[in-house]
Amino acid sequence: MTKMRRIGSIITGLIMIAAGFMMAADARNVYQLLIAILGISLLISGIRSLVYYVSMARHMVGGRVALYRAVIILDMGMFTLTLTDLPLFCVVLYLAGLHGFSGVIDILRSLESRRLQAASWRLKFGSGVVNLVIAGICLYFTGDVKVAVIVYAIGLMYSGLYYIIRAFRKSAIAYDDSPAV
Amino acid sequence: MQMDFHYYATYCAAILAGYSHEESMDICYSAQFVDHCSKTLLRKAKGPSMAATTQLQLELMDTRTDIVGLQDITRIWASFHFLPADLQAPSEGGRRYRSKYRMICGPNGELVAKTVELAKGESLQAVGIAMHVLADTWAHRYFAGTPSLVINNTNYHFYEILGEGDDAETRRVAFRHSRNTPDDLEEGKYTNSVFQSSENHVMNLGHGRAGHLPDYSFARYKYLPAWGDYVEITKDNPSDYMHAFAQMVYALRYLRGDIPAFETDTYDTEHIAAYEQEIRNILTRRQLDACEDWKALGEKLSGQVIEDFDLAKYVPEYREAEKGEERDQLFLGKFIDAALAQKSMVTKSIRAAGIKLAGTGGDKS
Repeated sequence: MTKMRRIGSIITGLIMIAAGFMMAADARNVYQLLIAILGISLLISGIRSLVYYVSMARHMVGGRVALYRAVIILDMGMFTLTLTDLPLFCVVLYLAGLHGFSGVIDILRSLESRRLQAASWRLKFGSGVVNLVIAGICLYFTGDVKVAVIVYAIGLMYSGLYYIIRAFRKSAIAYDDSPAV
Repeated sequence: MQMDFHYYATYCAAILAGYSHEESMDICYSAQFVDHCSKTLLRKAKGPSMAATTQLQLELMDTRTDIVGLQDITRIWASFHFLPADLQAPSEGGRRYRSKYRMICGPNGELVAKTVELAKGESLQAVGIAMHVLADTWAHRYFAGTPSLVINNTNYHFYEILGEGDDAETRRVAFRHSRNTPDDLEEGKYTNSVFQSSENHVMNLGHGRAGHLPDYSFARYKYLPAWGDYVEITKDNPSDYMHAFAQMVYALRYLRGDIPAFETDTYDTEHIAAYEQEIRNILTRRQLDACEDWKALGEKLSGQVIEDFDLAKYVPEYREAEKGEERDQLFLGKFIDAALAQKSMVTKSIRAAGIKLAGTGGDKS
């Protein structure tokens, strides 16, 4: 990981932790702002992915995956932005679903990394399991929105912590070209 | 390519081209030194960091991937390890894609002729650098010396070809990301870089996604290059390495003054004819490192002992010398001068082709 990526990862982590605290402290007034930030971030990311597909990836073998990713992210961004008028209960449900989804993706990726004997699979697997568990607890407490919000806030803070830890980890380049070119 | 080719095979080529043992040692040392002359080493030697010809793993990990960082990476890797084959190559896509596509490395391009001509009349260090660059155009063909997912990526369709002729069979390559485990030639398990969906990620530099397969002279494989529009490419390393060797002998004879002009797609088969079978045997032997074989051939050719490559050999004298003319006349000083000239030439050529990936730096001054 380059220095810039490390800094970016730390900033993302800190924002997530702050958002977790804000959510736990005053969910009813904060959630709309968080939803807006999340939606806009996804929208920007989706548009960037779409531009990348059109300008670059469409010429690449297997590049259509970039298009699918762009469309999904864009769609999620637009959908997220429509949630600002919904009651907190529905929003927490949606956010927990997103959390669970990213947990599943992390687990799948970690299993693939394990298969390819990459060293980093354990941290990713752990993070995926925690995300999935938090999403499950959130869904379990949907009857009590306050508890669900606090569980979700803890999950958010955990994810933030994961980003920060990741930034300080040694990142190996699996293939080192320099001594054997 | 590895030390077996850049050091020992280059020595053999130099001897066959008519250079003396001492001259051949300087040439092959310089050719191999290209893989070690990083900013870290230059800092230790108190040399100019802009003369770096490679980047260490640690340096790459911390390299910025903004435009300035990318240009720095490209200047180094395109100039010394992935010389672009055709900076005017026609391609689909817009300017951004075309720029990356035109950075694809390959042999017999205009730039390889310029590289060899640049070393004409210059130091033996310049000759060694040119031989490294020339040899890599064969080993690293189809990959680009700039981070790019859309150019350098490979996928699951990657097969090693075992055996020859009617007996040839294919075996799917099992890539893994375990840096500490050596490639398993028996089982066909090779280490490659981790897939990164980010276009400019350093993992997408050069042939990382194909692992060390391009570096093994015995390897024959077929795969779908990311830029190839689903057309399968067969890479025949024994043949490519043989061409590289014969072209090195030809280029070295030109640099010695035996041939008036260097032309691309020309090979010296005459001077290697007596050893062709021996060379072919070395190139096709399935082994991770062919240093011993090439060394034995080199010593047979010259009747001299080829000393092992010593990275620190010329560093202390350079570090301790006064800055100025005295330093420039030392081995490392001449290497630095030649490296800056090569980097400047390639960078300017890339810029002149309207490609901004290497920036405008790299001037000798």
